[in-house]
Amino acid sequence: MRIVLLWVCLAAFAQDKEDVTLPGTAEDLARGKKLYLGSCTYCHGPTGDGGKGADLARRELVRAKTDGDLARIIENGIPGTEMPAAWHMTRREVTQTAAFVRSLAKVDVRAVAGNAVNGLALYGKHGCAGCHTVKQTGGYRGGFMGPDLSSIGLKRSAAHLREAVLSPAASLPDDFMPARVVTKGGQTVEGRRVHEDTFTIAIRDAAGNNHSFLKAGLQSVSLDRNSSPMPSYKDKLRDTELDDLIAYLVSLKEPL
Amino acid sequence: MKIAAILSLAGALSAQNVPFQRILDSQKEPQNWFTYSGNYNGQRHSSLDLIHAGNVKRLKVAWVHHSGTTESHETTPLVVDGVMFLTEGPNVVKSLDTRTGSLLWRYERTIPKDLRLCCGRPNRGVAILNDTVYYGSIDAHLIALDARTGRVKWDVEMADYKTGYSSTVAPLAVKDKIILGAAGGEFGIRGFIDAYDAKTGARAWRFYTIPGPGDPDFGTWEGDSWKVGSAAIWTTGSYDPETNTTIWGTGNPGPDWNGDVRKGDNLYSCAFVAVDVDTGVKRWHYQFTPHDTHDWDATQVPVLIDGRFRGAPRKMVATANRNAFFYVLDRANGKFLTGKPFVKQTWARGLDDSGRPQVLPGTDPTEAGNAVWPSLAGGTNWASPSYSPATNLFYVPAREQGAFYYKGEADYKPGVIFNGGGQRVVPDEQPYGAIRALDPETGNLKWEFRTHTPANVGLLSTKGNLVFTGSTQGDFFALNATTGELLWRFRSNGGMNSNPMTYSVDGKQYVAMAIARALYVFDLME
Ligand code: HEC
Ligand code: HEC
Repeated sequence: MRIVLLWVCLAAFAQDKEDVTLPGTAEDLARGKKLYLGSCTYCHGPTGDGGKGADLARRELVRAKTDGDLARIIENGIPGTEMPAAWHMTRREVTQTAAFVRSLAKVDVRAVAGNAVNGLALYGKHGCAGCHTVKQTGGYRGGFMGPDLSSIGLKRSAAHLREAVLSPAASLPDDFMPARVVTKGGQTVEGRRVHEDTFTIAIRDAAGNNHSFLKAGLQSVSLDRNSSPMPSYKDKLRDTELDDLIAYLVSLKEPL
Repeated sequence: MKIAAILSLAGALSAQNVPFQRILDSQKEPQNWFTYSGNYNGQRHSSLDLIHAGNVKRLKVAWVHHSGTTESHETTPLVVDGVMFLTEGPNVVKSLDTRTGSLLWRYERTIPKDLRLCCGRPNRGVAILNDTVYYGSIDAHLIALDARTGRVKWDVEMADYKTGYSSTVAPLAVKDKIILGAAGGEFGIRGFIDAYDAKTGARAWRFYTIPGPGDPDFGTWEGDSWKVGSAAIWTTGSYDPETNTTIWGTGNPGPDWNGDVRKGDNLYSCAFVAVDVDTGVKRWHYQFTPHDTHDWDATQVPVLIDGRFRGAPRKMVATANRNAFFYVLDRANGKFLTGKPFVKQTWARGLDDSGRPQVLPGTDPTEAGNAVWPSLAGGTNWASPSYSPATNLFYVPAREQGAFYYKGEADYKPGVIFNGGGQRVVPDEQPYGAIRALDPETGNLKWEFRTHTPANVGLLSTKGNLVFTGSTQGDFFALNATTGELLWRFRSNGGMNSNPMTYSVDGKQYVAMAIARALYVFDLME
């Protein structure tokens, strides 16, 4: 019995290194889609853009760089996270699903037009760093108001980044909630909500300071997902400048 | 000194025993909590009032017992004469001193390595009868343990875990029988309710929650779909001594979101079934959601209420269902008396005179997905409601949330997930929860207490004019049962997925709640 178990472990280890070729026929993809809809939409949504699970409509999956990794993630899940093992699928079904997952990526096959070096200069000139953190030589630098952009190139498509810069309020990241409270004493605090429950709320202001309140001590709480503290850069950037800035953002691929 | 006291309590247990009559008369012993819902009537109401609306502000932690496992802690402890029995997922049963939380014994079951489950490996508690504790294990066995020592008396297989069966429900001990069912609703099982002889473990009867060939209602499943139609059992039923029936809520039909392969009403999924305790023969059934395609299990504890309906005394069973409607039925025959939504719903125009939902077109899951309220988690889920005879109010943990529902393909394979789709949150919706107090005669809202997020935390009402419950975000709190006013709260910062209970020992009342990975027990500051 013990020997059998050892053999199984060795077999799994060997599989870890195994390279996998995903099937590519129309029937395989159609079958992969059906399997995906049956088993993955629950968390990842029908087009992979997420719900409870990670965004699979990305150009590069951080944990699934190779097709072999992708197949193994589907087969075994990601231990310690909510990502379950699809142990109900045969190896063939796993690869069909994986092929469909790859087809979900909103890939911009055309290379991004702009120049990332110019983009970095524009990032500095327009004060993006006042609100955003990116990794630069010497460490993570920047402000706290907006999301960390160090790996934004892995998380979002170029099209989404363009929209984020031109009309920031159009789609806020899921966990971003602009908040404003007025205390009974008349003090106003604005920023992003970092915690809220039935009885308390905590807000981080533009300077990165945290403020935590008992709701019972507040005059008002306002939350507005239709607004963003980020200004629109629609009229501040020429078209080529916008391309450069996007090229810079796409180049930000710090591993998580 | 302390050790001696513990030993004497354990001794007291073996001397006193819990014959069926004691459970039947449990209202005479409010210090004890003999069965999952506290009482056969499923009310989760206690007539203890040492802790009451006037002094609950002084409630504080008496002790904490850590589970040592990583599973969601969903147990309701039982308490008998100062001794507590509880379970910890995936595979542990424990006995504790109720005053200190000290461990008296611990039973751990070895679980098969190839066990496949959809939704974690929780367990909701044990049953006790005479000197034995009964435990439904995650690999679908029923196990009898010596109440004093935890030693196994017998172990029977209910069903083969390899084909997707499991057990998470607290069994119900009635007369000389132990009644429970099998979970596995996402695996294309054929659901059932079983009764076992409490002494020997021999199976006394099995009632399939899906009729087979020759049974009445067999035709409500197209083709062979009945064989894999699920209708699982995973929340404890109630017992009505007057009619000698036990009433259980059944799970959804499988595959969950793809109804094309199982045309028909799919009886007795999403229903209450009332079964004769001696024979296992069905007396009546009432299906809340015919041909469900949203995973709206009817696995809510049936709440038996003796009250008045339209001026006349009536024996009723009430439930707030996952499908968003509150129902009152006549529990002698399962006849529909009244029903009304208790949360936002967009799938039915209403209920007709027989209580059948008038389903709106276009509310089935599709490949592209469509938004329907309530969400998959339902208007409420398995967390226990409560009914207080003192206020004549029905309390329910309500969930205000919708979902996009998707239909996918589902091929049945033994032991394999059989879903046929899924759901996704509605973007930019601000879901919330509420504790709602309903008039059981009309379903009208009397008061509500809102929580920031929808909760799946059960309710306990007490004669002290209190309702205890919690939030998914870690607040355990007490409300005034008459008005809904917040009276006390405890910030645990741990999620809750369980039901509160209460007991007393040595003249002191305690309230117990499983929070995160520990059991918290509260008493009054001296
Ligand atoms: C119960 C929810 C759930 C289901 C069902 C689910 N996933 Fe996931 N998945 C997750 C979560 C959560 C993560 C993120 C894990 C982490 O990194 O913390 C994830 C991550 C992933 C990743 C890695 C993404 C990356 O950035 O590298 C892949 C690939 C993936 N899932 C594919 C699938 C596929 C294919 C299916 C269906 C067979 C599936 N998932 C079903 C929740 C789920
Ligand atoms: C006043 C603070 C502020 C400034 C200045 C600012 N941002 Fe933002 N940014 C935010 C906030 C807050 C968000 C999150 C809300 C939103 O999406 O609008 C955000 C979101 C983003 C996102 C989307 C992130 C995601 O996960 O989808 C990108 C990309 C972005 N900013 C880039 C920039 C760039 C490039 C600049 C400079 C040209 C800039 N921001 C300037 C505050 C700022």
